[in-house]
Amino acid sequence: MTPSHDPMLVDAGGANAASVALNPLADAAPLYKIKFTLKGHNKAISVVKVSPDGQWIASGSADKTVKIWSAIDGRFERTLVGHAQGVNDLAWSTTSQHLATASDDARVRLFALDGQCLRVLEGHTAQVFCVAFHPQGHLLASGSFDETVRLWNAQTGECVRILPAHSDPVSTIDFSPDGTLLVSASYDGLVRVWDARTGLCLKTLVAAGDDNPPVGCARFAPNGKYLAVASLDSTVRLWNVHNATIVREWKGHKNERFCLFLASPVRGHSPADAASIGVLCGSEDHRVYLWDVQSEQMVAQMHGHTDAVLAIDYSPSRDIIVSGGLDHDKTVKLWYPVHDSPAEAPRPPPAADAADVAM
Amino acid sequence: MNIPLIESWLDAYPTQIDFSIPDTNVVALAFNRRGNHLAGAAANGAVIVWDVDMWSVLRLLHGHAASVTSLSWSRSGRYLVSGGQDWRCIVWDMSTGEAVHTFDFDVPVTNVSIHPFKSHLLVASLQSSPPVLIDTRTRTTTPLPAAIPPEFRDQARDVDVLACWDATGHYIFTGTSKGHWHVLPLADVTTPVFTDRLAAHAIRHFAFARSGSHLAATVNDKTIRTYHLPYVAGYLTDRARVAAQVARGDGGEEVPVPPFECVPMLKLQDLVNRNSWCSSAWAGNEEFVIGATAGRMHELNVWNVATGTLVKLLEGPSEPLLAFAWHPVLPVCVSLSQKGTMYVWNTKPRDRWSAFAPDFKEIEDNVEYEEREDEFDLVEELTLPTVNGGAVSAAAKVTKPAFVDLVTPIEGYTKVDEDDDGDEPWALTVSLDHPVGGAPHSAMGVFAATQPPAALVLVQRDDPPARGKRRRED
Repeated sequence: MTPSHDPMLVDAGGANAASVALNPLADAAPLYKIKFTLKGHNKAISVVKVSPDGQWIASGSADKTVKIWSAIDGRFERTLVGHAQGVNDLAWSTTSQHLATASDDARVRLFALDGQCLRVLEGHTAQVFCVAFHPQGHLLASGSFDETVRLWNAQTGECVRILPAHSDPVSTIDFSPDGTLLVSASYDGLVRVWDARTGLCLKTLVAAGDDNPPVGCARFAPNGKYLAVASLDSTVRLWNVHNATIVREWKGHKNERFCLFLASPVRGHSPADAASIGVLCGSEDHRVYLWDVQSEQMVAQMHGHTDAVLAIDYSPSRDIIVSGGLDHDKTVKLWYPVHDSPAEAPRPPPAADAADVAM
Repeated sequence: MNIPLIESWLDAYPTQIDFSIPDTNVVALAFNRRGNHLAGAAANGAVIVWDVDMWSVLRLLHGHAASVTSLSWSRSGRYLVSGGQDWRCIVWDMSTGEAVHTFDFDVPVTNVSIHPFKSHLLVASLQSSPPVLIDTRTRTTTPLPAAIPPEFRDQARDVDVLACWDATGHYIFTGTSKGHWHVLPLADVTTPVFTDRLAAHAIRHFAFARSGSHLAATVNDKTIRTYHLPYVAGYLTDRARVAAQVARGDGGEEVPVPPFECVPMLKLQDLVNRNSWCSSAWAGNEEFVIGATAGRMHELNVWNVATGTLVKLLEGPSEPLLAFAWHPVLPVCVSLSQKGTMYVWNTKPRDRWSAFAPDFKEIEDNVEYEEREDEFDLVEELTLPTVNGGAVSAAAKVTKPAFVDLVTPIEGYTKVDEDDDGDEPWALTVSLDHPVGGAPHSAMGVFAATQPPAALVLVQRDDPPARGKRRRED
């Protein structure tokens, strides 16, 4: 995998009208290119998350481990072991010192950055699919295939609340940035917004009338008023939570089987940054898609993975996209902007583990 | 963030005691402005900071040698001022848990108050001495002269017992032991702009509503007097407008100091039991005033401000009530009994079934449903019938506004409260390495000690929070 591989999909020869419409960026210059490919996992990568301070990348995989990489130069840092089955989701605390991981072994583990497993949260009766940290770090929320959402006290490890959230596996969970709201969505197509303090259901959002496509991911906007929801009908929708209307829809990617992650490249909180917000999503057609929020236009398609891309995240401090591929791919790729300064040529880091190498 | 979703069906005042934390020995309480932290002043000199959601202890601050009498939070929630009977006033920085300023006086400190916008200005009331204005940057303390009007000048022992800031930060309200209320402008603290004699008894407590436009003065003559301060609202909107201009880079002008005016509103008392009050508080939506009884009763009286009627009498345990605090936004309040127990009052959470599906509606009475003649016929149709008792839900409305604002915070619970010193709204992040305290029921061992035992693990110093200025520089 060469770093200079052109990530843009160029639809050469044989383009008919339909495929040209699907590739509106055929003539556009690429925005991001792969700078580092991080190898080391033995099985599909289910989740990648960049720490809030922008220093670390954590990748969780079906090989039961979580690997920590440096977000600056892709250097492998350590492997967190402990789960008995594959890791489905992970969440950083706001201090960037702790990680919560959700796994198919029905446990949620709390790790410190130095690799120590601080707590094992037991209580779910089926695979835990998603986990989220409260911004203040005292609460953890986890959603599971047992159709419930559990709220845990992160300090003591006890379960403080069980929400009978859905009637199908809970696929995604997220806290609003101020910590007062919790959103959960599931395979039954419902997106529910809960009050984090009392556990009361505040709102239910349903996209379509009859056939509710399962929801793969739901994320709050920085001000907590809007919700981006990715569902398994290849659509990402932006909801206004207060009056339950859809305000944006993004299509073009392929999402019918897996629960993809959403990320939002937002830097800063001033009104000037609001115009440059995008929506990032992986896809089952091996590409990474980036849309502009306001205009709903597709801004970039990034080609480089050799299998479906589910895991995606955006660094909060630098303009870097991180993505992870499934079984045939097993790599984490770091995408840098094309106009990055060429002066910082990556020096090959000493490989701590023979299998873990950043190119 | 959740207030617009929740407020239509949230009770305005609490209805029952949720749980109690025994043996806290706390004598004074203060919620921070956002309402996510509660500070308690212990009789042994410790200051305890709880997280309001989980009631876990976030900080244990040791610095006073005797009982702490009063607490005040800065606007951003980062600084906490405590004044105690050991003649000391300490300013704590919550991010490190360390005392940043300490001021020593000759007499016990009875009340402290931080300026609503500039967290380096404090007002401290001293026992039997005039209150002082403290500037922590220059480390100066200026006594506020007790300006008594000539007609009362020969009254002996009329001392200031209470001094606090108003919501604009331009006036200092002082209350005396003989019932005088003086308003001193910050620009010139020697001349009061307003003086009133509320009663012949001491003024015990000033409680401001969250918006600052209303004041409840608890007086020892068994009344709670409410006032409307019309100058506050206009000043705060002007101030917010100028701050928005400055944020956009347009430059801001000075907002002029509003002239003081007040309109007396209600005089609330308990005519039946003739209770005296220890303090009062405003509800988050400013429709209700709660008064906490002093003396042997442990009762909270809830009045509706619009009509002046008593709407609820909440009875607590049979221990005398010592102090009381109401959450700034939510219907949660905390009362302390003389036995040392802390009681948390809450509303009864009710599930609202209409939230579980978009087309569920709550109705008052049962509705008789008449079936159609062909309701249950098996009909082969190409197009399915639509709504039939809510079986098929309508698709959600799709609107496409031109601009979707994902970043600007919305008003309400998390309105961005920046103070002049530049501290942004701040929340203490919990350190997970060393648990302190824990669930309410296991809190007993933490508070029983009079000095920090070696076995007690203090919360580690947290890294400065990731939000705030640091993130903006990237």
